[in-house]
Amino acid sequence: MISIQNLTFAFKKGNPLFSGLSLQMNPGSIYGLFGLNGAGKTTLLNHISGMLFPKVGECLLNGQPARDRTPKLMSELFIVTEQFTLPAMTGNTYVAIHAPFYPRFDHSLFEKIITEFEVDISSSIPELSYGQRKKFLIAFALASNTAVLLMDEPTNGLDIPSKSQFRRIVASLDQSERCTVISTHQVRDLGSMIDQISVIKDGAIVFDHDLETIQKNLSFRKLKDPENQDYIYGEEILGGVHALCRAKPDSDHSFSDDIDLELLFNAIISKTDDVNREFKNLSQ
Amino acid sequence: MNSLSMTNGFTFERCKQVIRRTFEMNKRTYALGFGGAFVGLYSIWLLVMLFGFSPEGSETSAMILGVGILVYHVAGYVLTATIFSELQSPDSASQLLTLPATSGEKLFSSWVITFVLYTFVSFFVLTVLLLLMFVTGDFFIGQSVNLADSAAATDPLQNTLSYMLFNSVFMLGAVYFRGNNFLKTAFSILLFFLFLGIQGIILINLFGSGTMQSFTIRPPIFLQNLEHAALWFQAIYTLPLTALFLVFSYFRLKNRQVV
Repeated sequence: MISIQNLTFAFKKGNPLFSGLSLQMNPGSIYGLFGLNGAGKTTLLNHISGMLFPKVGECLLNGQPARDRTPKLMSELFIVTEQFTLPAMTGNTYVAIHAPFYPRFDHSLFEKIITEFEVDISSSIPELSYGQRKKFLIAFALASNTAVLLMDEPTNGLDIPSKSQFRRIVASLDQSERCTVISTHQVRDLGSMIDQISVIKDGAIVFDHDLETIQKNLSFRKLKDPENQDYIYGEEILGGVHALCRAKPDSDHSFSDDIDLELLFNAIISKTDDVNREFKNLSQ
Repeated sequence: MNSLSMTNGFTFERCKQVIRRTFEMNKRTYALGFGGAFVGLYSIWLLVMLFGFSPEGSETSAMILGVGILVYHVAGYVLTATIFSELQSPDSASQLLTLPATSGEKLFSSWVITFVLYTFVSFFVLTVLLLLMFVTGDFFIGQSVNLADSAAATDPLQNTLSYMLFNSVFMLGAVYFRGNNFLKTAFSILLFFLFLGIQGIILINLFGSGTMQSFTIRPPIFLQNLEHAALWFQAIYTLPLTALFLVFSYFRLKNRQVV
């Protein structure tokens, strides 16, 4: 579905942002794209959507270069950018004009989501608040039923009830034919939705595994006596260390099955090789 | 509306939808522009006639229509330069760049709005203005306005041809520059003509008789015998140049990336 091969890209007069980045994304999964500020998450989404062209390498959508931006290709892709300006028209007009470009646009789903979000689509879009506009765009994006859905910080600007509504709506949708990529810093908001984690660091994808594989290879534990314990990465908490360990539960630990995305992300960023070694060891 | 067929080539059905989109996005600006120009021009004419600044009704009407033509050109270029305003900001560029339509359809739609529709509405508004001046002048002010004399001042064909050419130049400016598109395009045109002028002066001093007369471009002999030779000549160089600028705009739009 999305195939990025050996992508190298630099903005003018800058150091390369990506150098030989490769990534494969398939339908049926929701990918969480993580990285530090400036790592290139938005730039990568812009490459996938054909809005930026690789200097070296290629970014393919269904085997076709995204940079071609052919109507057929674009009718299977929708991007919700973090900052966005929608045309000055009413929500109804926006839907009437743009929905026909997406062959599987589901009007009843759009109505359902927009009702749940409580957005007045008879108003002019610029008159809506930022959060309302974002909810409108998310509703349109989900209803478009495109094979590729890219979302850059989708919950930024949403109030707390809207964030849980968003999670609930996405969870209720059939994702089997769709590849969704969510770039976010808000791992606590969206962690429960994601089933594949990709991390960008130093211009490359340094970590790319599904949750099942992560759970098989790593465990997240609260260590009461960290000095005498072996762990990959840890963060001090009240009464011990919250640690990322190898997937071998010891009787000594309070064991948790839940993946702590924030801890995992911090571990990948600060101890990339150590974390990845666990996956290499088990695959051998 | 049903969904559009998503083939990769140019389709009129999809093009119509992109035209509708471009129209919806710009209709308010255009309506305000046309309304403002109409009211402004008519008010000036009325003031001149009522306060007797001009004794001749037809002369004043012709002058007002001349100003209308000037407004048609300038306002049209400003609107053309901003037709791809979505591309000027990364916040809005995705809306146009990822819209499932070909670059040709996007460009053609903008051309239809900024040239075809704009020209049609402009001349319609000028015609209504002329008729209103005629009716008001004859029945309320007692100054007759000669319709034919006044209309002749607009020279619609020649103005449409020259607008068409510069519209395509400003269209290229709209996709080429990132911000201040009108000013940058106008400045580029100015520089181009300045360059041509300097070249001309150098050529005249080097090879000519020292006067501009010897370098005046005249229509070819085969055209000189035709009626409206100048207009034909203008059409012959305007059409390919317009096409050339539109082709440049197409490739620029096709390869445009988010800022």
